Amino acid sequence: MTTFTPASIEEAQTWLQQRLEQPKPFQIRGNQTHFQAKAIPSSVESEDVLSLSKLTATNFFDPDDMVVGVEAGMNISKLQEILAEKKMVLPVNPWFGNSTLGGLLACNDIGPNRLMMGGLRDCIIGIEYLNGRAERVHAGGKVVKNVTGYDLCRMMLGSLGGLGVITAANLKVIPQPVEPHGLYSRFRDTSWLLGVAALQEARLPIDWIQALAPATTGEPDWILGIGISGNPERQARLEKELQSLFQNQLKSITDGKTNRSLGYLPGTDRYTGWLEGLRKKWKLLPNYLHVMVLLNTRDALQPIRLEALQHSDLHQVIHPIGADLHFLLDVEDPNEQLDFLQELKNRFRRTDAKMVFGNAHPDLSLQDLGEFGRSTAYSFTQRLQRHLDPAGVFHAPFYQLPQAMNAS
Amino acid sequence: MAFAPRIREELTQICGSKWIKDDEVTLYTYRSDGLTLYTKLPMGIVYPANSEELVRVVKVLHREKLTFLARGAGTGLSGGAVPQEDTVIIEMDRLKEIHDIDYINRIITVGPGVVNLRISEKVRPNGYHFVPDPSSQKACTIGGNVAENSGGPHALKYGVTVNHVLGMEVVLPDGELIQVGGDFHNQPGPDLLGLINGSEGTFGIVTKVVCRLTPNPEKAVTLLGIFDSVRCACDAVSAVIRSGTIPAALELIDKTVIYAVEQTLKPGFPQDAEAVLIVELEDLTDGIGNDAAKVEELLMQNGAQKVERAKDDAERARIWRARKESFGAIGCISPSYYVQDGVIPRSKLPEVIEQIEAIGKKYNLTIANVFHAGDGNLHPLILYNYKDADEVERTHHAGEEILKVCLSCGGALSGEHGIGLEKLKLMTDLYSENDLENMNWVRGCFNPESLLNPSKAIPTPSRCGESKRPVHISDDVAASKMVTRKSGVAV
Ligand SMILES: Cc1cc2nc3c(=O)[nH]c(=O)nc-3n(C[C@H](O)[C@H](O)[C@H](O)COP(=O)(O)OP(=O)(O)OC[C@H]3O[C@@H](n4cnc5c(N)ncnc54)[C@H](O)[C@@H]3O)c2cc1C
Ligand SMILES: Cc1cc2nc3c(=O)[nH]c(=O)nc-3n(C[C@H](O)[C@H](O)[C@H](O)COP(=O)(O)OP(=O)(O)OC[C@H]3O[C@@H](n4cnc5c(N)ncnc54)[C@H](O)[C@@H]3O)c2cc1C
Repeated sequence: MTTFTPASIEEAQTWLQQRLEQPKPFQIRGNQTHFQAKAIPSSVESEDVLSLSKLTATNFFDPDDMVVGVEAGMNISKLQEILAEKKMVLPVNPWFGNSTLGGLLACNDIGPNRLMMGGLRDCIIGIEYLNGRAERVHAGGKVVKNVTGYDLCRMMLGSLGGLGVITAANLKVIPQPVEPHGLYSRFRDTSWLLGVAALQEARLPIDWIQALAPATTGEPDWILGIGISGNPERQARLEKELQSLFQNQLKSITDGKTNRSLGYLPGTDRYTGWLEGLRKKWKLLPNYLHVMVLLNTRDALQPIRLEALQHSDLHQVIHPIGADLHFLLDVEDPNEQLDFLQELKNRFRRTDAKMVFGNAHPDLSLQDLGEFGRSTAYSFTQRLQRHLDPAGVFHAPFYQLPQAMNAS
Repeated sequence: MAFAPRIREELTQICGSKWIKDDEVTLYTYRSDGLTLYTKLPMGIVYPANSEELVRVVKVLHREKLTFLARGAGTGLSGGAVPQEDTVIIEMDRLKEIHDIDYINRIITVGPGVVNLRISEKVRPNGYHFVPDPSSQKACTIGGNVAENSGGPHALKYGVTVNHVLGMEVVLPDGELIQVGGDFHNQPGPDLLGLINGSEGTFGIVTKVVCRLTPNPEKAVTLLGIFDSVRCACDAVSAVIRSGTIPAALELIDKTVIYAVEQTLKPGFPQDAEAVLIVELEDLTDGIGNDAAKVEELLMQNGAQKVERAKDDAERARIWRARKESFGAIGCISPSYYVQDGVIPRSKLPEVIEQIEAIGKKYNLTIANVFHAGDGNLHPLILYNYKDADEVERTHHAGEEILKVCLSCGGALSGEHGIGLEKLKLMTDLYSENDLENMNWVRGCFNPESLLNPSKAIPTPSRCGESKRPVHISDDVAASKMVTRKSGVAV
């Protein structure tokens, strides 16, 4: 396996042109913060890698127009730093500060504040990528509203390295929230879900919501955090309503300030990734299992699903509205990981849920997710991939799952 | 121009004879969409009742290698629903079932023929609405909204159609039915939902849409800033956006449009003003007054003569009606208008508006402005008389020049109306030949033979830069005489 790390987009393009002369598959990488999943065990070892990690330039930043354009290898921490200098923010806070923008786009990442502020899909306004013919192509632009030509920006979102090499992107950003605060409370069980259901019904404009378990090492308990912002009257009203929904159990913290005793709530890493902090706190083993379950809010609010999954080595991060549920099993044995995965699949069998690996033992492959790992219109998606990569150079396991699979 | 008997027979078996039409009067009514500068008679119209019928119809048309397109309400402003030679139009009007409503998941599933406003009316009693609110919302359909990725005044804070659609059922041009997205936000894999949105009906025919529902704001405050210069009003837009408060809507109306709406709708806008700015804030009641006061102050600091706050819902409704029906009101001052849809970085508004005024003077045309200022999405309305060939020609030149100005300052050709037929020629001014070929390559996966809505959205390969000229006025006059003769209705 060799890794090529171009210093410029031109270099990347020349490399890809040469690669197409004698087509040989390779993987596109950012900073490898994501589990390098395999579709079929052992298909991946010999792949070469094209790493975008050195393409980190800022192409433009116009705070007055609230738009920014950067190269794909810039990491999210750096991008948020640049934006913060002008009191702006990209309202997407993924797990790892070190993830590259290209990686985030290729995975179509979302974070807890997607609830009120959208995900990358609501921020992307322009893209540049190298296509399957090694052409450097553009779509979209620098303006915040645009229907000029096909929306290839969104096509590349979630493309998982299979449709082209993302080299740069333009994003719509927003002013930082005014006086962000977090309200939090501990719960001994999943009774907080009832409060969340009431909150959803009350239609309160909160910024984010996240539940974690276990809150205390060795205890089966939960901590629920809710983000609010805005002028003092607005915040007072929201706090009052939220307190009444959660029986006055909520305490307030200043969001964005590190609070040592509450390290599991967003601190200074508020906009640059939370899992790094959690991973340290939970001292996760390198090959821990992280499965993300994507499903609708109604299904996520079923208390029984979470309660029954209590497991001594299990950590959960739940974004109950939207929804995405993260199960982190601190066990490295691949068989135990597969057993747990089976338990998850049984639990979500009657829903339309989808599953994604965040991390896993290298022996696990995407195939282990079964039907849960495939998107709707999966066979069309495979067709699109073959159409746009006729030489078959982009090695992307997501597109290689067998046609008919059993959900079990 | 009519169905061949064999094809008519087969389509009749699928939909019933009542739902297959190719008489001259019907064909005439389908010859254009909201952009009447481009017209062509279709081969015929098919009205399927549901997705199953539609799939069967598409399979027949595909087998016969006939071109076809879906049509919603025909309010499109870029010629998207205008047929080509021998194109069959598939009318979506009968697919207007409202399927499920789920308030916990905040979604509603509807047929593509459902009229946009109908969704918000349906869920209003439960405190929700569907955000995209094009000014045509009383008529346009969800299918058309998805195809054009339509916006509306409230796109500024909440986004456009693509941000409010979670799933779709789509019939591909060969009759294959696929489901994309679902009832929650993220699916693994490429965002096909986003890709199909805004593809101007050239990738597939949408037969079901899962729309997001958004809670109604507890309170909306509508401000009317009155300005004696358009430039000051534009400066005020930039100042508001820079301040960090993102209004739900920020719309500019200039004096020509003020005059037109005062002749027809009488919202009570001051007729001596050069421009009014509608700024709407939406949030909880608590604290919204302070935010509104800050915006009022900003407007005054940027040259507003006066800022009025709508006193009640009736006054708000009057202001919004004037804004949303302003295109129609133009009818009282001009026989025709040609609306442009260029979009620019919002900080460039003041200079671009001045250049548009200069273009109007150069071509001796009145250009009125009513637009989504907060998004930098312009709608210059070029007023012309369709019976005056020279004026039509000048109108085209002026429109093109306006779009070139938008491009020269980092903008794009269309913010919400789409490229359709109308702006094809200018696509090479924005994108390289490579970029366009690449878009064409993607289209090839959905629509390899270009049977579905051909020659729209992007120029046909190797013909980039080709100009499509609108129909000759004399042809249209002859056709309208024919319809008058046959139907007794003057057109
Ligand atoms: C389907 C999926 C959904 C995920 N959702 C979330 C989420 O919602 N929130 C969250 O915090 N984390 C999520 N993750 C984890 C997330 O992928 C990583 O945290 C991060 O996005 C990866 O960034 P990276 O630079 O480390 O990329 P890598 O780990 O190096 O690569 C990740 C993937 O992106 C592709 N890729 C990387 N760069 C490019 C590029 N320039 N052009 C094209 N493809 C590229 C790679 O081929 C690979 O498939 C998700 C992962 C997957 C697979
Ligand atoms: C007075 C006026 C004001 C307007 N204001 C706005 C505005 O504020 N914002 C805005 O964005 N637009 C506006 N428009 C433009 C227009 O209303 C929108 O583009 C609208 O979405 C078109 O919907 P329709 O049902 O009329 O579609 P049509 O005009 O019938 O079709 C438009 C395109 O959509 C395709 N299509 C229709 N249905 C389907 C389907 N089911 N599947 C696939 N493709 C389909 C057609 O093939 C065509 O290409 C305005 C138009 C008018 C006349």
